[in-house]
Amino acid sequence: MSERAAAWHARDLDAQQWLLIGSGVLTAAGLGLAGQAAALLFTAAQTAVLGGLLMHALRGRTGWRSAEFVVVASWFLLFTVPCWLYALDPALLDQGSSARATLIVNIALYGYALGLLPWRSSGPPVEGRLAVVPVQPRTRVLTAWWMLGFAALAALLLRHGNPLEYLSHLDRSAALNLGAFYLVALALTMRFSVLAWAAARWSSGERLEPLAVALVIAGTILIGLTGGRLFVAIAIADFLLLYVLVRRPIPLKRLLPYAVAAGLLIVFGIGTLKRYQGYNATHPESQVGIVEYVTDRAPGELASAYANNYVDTIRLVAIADRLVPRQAAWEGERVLLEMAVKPLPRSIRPEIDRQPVLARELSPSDDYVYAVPLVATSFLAGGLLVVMLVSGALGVFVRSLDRWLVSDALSAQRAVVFVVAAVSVPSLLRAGLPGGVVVLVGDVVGMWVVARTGLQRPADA
Amino acid sequence: MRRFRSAAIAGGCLILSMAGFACGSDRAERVVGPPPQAAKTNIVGNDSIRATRAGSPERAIMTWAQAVQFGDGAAVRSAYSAKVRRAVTGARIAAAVEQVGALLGQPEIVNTLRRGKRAFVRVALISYDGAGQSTQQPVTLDLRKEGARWLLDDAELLLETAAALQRSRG
Repeated sequence: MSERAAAWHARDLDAQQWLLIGSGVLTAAGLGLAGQAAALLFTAAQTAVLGGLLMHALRGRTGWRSAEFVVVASWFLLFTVPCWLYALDPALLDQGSSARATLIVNIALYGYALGLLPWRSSGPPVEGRLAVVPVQPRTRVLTAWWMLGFAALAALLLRHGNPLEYLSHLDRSAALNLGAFYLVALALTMRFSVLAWAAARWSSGERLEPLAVALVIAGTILIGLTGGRLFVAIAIADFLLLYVLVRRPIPLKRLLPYAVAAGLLIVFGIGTLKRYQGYNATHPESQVGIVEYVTDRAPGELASAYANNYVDTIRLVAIADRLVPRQAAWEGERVLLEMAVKPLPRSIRPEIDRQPVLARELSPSDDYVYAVPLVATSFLAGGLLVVMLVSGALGVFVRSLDRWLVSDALSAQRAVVFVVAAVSVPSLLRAGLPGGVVVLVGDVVGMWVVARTGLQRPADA
Repeated sequence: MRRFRSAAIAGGCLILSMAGFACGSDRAERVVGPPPQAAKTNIVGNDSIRATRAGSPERAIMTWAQAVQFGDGAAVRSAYSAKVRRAVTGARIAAAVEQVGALLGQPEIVNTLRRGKRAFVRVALISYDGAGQSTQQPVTLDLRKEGARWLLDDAELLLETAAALQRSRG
């Protein structure tokens, strides 16, 4: 490391420590207050820690091209933005206390930082692309995986009769996909096959051929038809991270405007469409047009829609805090049992009993279950100690992913699996246990199987 | 070691937060909706107004109802559309507000039907007597959007109620 780089490094470290100290001061000040003032200070403290972690990510070996950066960016969207919305307008939150919910999230963030920060950075920054061992695609095998994914998606859409019926009720996509876990998982092989293809071409310094590009675009659009915005966002993030790691680095500053635009389109564009369909379903007598809904109604609902519907993480943490341990007991190992049986088909899966008060609040109807974030599921399991331990373990996992990504003699096959794992961490944060873990494990295993069968080293070709 | 110092600071913040959480008194349960005593009053409070979406027809109705209850004739008049303001003089509105103000119930929004720049809002006007018993008056209010504001496009409720009260008082 040059002298100048070392000086910057030291300055960044100091700034990072000052941000952490500032966060502690804000927390201490917030503890002396109550209500909105406390919520504002705790949220400011969270923002300061996140700023420190962002600095830590950016001065890592691969800079913003890392799992650490993915976690910081997703944490900001999943937790910090809703915290600010609730702190600025307390009337938005109809459950529990936003100050307490924010404090629980802050404890999770400190726990995550504790799992992440003590690790030593093992080598100089990687300025260019990662030096991965190139592989060749088995075009037929990858095309077959893509076709399998397409068939699974078709089966998913036809499950409810007319596919148009499915597409016109995207507001109920989660309910429509219920009990179709394996079909959804198989549909994702469309994404894995083209990711593997891209990893092969880019690791060899080649461009992606037109057929593969067409399959990438078609696959992403088709997966978007399931109504799962997260699937679309994850697919785009997978390709982007893989591209900047193994093909060509892109400066963050140049990419940021496009990423923000795409994020807004995915969150609010598709979100507004889903809310519009939901509105007309619940107000059959009014039947407003999409243009009227978008121009008239949607703008006034943005903050509420974001914090209470699209990203209701803080609301769910507040519900968890309200319920346990006062109205319900800690859930303990129940979540592990649920995770163990989750992969079984719904028809033969044993029902894991839940305390009625929790079942009522977290599963409002038979076909609708909230995606309870990792912080909330950890809190429900055993309170703050579990939140801290789980978040710390997440920090260790994320740090390990980044170390594996820059390990020597990394094959393109492994690189693409690590990229998929890094991009799935936000799903874990969002959907908690067992949902998020199932998504992460499903993604990693699916990607590994497709990469293993669809890629080969040049010597084997 | 600098990285251990960062971790130590994070650890300190963690302990502080956990201790604060354990000792915190902000656990007071938030009551969903207005508290029981507030629900038994006819007065439209600021909380009721804030509970509606800013810039919505519902917000316009709650703001109008509060202005009527507090006898703010100018604010009531400004809550009506240009058509109503042209047709009904300020003095007539002020007189009606004086008659109706103390008796107007708390509006509870039942349903909203929008058609472009018009909205029809079904409202139950709930009035509580001293014993906490309630009576409801269902009405549909017609609103029009002028610029960025939703305005009541019909003063019939206010004027008819004032006239009925006038008649009943002889």
